[in-house]
Amino acid sequence: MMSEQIDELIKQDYEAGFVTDIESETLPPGLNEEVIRFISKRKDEPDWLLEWRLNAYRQWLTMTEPDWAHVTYPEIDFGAISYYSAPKSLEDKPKSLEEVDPELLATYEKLGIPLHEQEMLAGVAVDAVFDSVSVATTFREKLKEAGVIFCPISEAVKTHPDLVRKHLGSVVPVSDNYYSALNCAVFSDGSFVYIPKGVRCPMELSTYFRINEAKTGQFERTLIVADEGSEVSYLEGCTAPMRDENQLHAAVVELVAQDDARIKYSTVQNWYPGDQEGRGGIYNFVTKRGVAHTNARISWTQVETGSAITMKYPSCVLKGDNSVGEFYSVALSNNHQQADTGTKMIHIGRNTRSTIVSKGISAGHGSNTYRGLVRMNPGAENARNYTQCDSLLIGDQCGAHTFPYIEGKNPKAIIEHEATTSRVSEDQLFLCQQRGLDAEKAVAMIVNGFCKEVFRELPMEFAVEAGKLLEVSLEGAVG
Amino acid sequence: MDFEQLAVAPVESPAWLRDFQTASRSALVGVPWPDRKTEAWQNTSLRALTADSFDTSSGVDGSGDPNEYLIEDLNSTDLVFVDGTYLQDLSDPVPSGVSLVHLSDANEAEAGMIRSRIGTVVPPTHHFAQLNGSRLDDGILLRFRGAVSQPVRIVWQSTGTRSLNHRLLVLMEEGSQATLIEHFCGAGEAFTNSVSELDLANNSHLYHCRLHLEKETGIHIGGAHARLGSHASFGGFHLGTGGPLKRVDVTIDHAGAGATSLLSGAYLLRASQRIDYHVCAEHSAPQCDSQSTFRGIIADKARAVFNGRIHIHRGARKTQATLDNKNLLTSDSAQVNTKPELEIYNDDVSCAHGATVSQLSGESLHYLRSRGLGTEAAFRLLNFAFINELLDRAPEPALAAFLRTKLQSWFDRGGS
Repeated sequence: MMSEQIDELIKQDYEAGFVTDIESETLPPGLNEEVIRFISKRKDEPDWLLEWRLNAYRQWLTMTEPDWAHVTYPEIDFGAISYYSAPKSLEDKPKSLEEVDPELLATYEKLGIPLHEQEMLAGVAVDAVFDSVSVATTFREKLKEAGVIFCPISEAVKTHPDLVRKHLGSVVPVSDNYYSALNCAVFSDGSFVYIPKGVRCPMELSTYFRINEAKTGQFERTLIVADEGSEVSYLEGCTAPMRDENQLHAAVVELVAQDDARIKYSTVQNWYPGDQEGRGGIYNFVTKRGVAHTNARISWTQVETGSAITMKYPSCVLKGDNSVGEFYSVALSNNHQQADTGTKMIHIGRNTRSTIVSKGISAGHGSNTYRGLVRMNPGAENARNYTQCDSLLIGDQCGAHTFPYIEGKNPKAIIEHEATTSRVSEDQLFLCQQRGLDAEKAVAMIVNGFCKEVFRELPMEFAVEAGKLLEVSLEGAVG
Repeated sequence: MDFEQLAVAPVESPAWLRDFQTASRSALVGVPWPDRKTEAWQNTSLRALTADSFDTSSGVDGSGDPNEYLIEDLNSTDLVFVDGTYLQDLSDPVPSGVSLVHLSDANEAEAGMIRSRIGTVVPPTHHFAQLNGSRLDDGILLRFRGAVSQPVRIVWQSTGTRSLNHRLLVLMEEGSQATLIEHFCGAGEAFTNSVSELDLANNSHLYHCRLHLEKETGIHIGGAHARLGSHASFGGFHLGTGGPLKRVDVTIDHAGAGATSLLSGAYLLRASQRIDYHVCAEHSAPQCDSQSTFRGIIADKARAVFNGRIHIHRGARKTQATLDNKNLLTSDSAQVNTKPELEIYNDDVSCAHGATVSQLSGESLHYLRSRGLGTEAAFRLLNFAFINELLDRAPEPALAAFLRTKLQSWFDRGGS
């Protein structure tokens, strides 16, 4: 890309003067219909979307917070949250890496993140923009060539209203649950992806996303539509720790895999888990669900090491015959982290198949819960499910729990579930230490082996980083 | 329906029992009636219960029919209750080493002992057990000393529509050994609320068999709860046939170090029957082992619920616990909801659970057919074998033989 073009791009931003504008429009805490109207107006949304938001808000008011999860946290004051906060202005941001918390930098270092990306992630307000914009623009052109639409959802509402209107809320209905209803009412922004018929997305959307990720706020909304016969791989989040002042995150992700389409959705989540005493940290209450039509395949892979409280159940509705759902998960809770996560596989079509591999690791005072549902509806003839949940315990103050719900309503469907819980075996540790590894390295290696089945499913570069991430997250867990 | 309103104590009770009734009632204050949102009752509807279900006014409706609970060649000491009333004529005198006390005529010393133990084994969150306690007018205490070789069988027969409130308290003294069979039978349409508490002192051994073989008209909510002292061992077998509403809670609390339990069970359902087993292995002491295996065959439009829980407390080091649940669905409309749970707060443990739901494997059927068996016969043989495996663990051959006959006749009547 030519440097003039780049300059131009930078200038455009500057000319718009968005910094001062948005800064002045940050809303005071509290939620009512006016706030929703404000958000909608601020985003210049069509009437139908405002109505949709208001409807969601009204339903949310009638709902109650879920209390079935195996987590405890102080009550959330929904009136104390600001539902529209603008990105931080350039002036508030650190001017260079020297101003960034050295602890954070040390972690970046361990993860092997390149310098310019470190600046990006730490929110340094310097040339980072230069790199990302140039790379991003190249990517954007390549995607355009293939006919792939990939843009912020607020933009898609304007440029592709029919597509958005057709699919928004089609997978996760407005009143699905307390947090999804809240998200529908106040969602800030997020991504929209559309892959046209028969197109294989020319790149992993991860690469692009990782560099171009904007602060989308705490109520993110993602919609991915893969049309017939198309294929896409999407990675959200990144291995680097994110410092975020928003405590509650209630995102919604919807995937639509039309006939013969394939969607692979990978998540690496490393939000602030709170300090070692369990103070602070993010509440991650996310609703993720995909609908797979005939012969389609949806695959969720997640590596969850961050957040103080996690309640997250990426699900597959296997609606079409022969559709496939997969869930591969590594969830780690160290210190005082609590995770209640798992999946739902709803088998509706014939010959549908699902695989669940969940690896939970608890250390310190952490609590890790697998909660999953496998349902074979009466029509799910010859459907097949295999579930494997393994938990690893490190330390005698942690907890590991498994709550699988298994519902068989078709005799020709086969469901198999197995779960094990154990600790890092002393034999294994001894062997590693005898070969010269220190205890911490040895545990890290064993844990990595324990998670291998899941890491294998991640895009290559992230698999390596995810391994390192586990190592970093487990620091201090072995005495 | 409301727990508090239903918790009506009988008119006349001795003071110690009144005290227990009040304590049980106080545990029900403000407890909402379970509905589909109550986790423990998510898949089992209580709609079959009506106000009439709790009617205790009518007396004994009929006399017991000993043929119904006859187990050939089982040389057991029988204690027979028909519609909640102990029938001396049909019962045997208890063998030496066993003492039997009826709660209603316990003397002061016995009452003191009963009061100190009753209600301590069943978890306080079991609201129907609290309801049982609040309405309790009678029940029995069985105390075992030393090795009692003859099995003791309690027959709970129901014939009418009278609401029944059974209570059994078993105290296994240190080093004692016994086999206890609880045999539920009868064609009554009553609602039975039964609570059995089994308290095993250190080094005692109990084999407990609970047969739910009532006719399908009866509604039953009940449970068997065991507490194991140090190095106590417990063997359990459950067999359940379905009804309009049948719920059995089984808890085994490994409270003493080195306690072991081996539990197995089977449920057989057909027509529109329901059954709900909630099994829980509590591990609060170190070095305990538990193994649970439950299997079910669900035919026609029946629905089964199984919930198996392993709960390991913080101090329960070196625990080994496994739980296994397999289900066969033999018709297109049969359903099962199974939920094996692990809740673990200690790292020095080895736990596993597994659950499967399927129909008979086509390969197995094909194999038998290729050996000359008809489809029907091959089908029955495989179904039978699926459950039969568990019967091999029964300590009394006569009991195993009886259960095999029951099983056979269940299949002959078109259970599958």
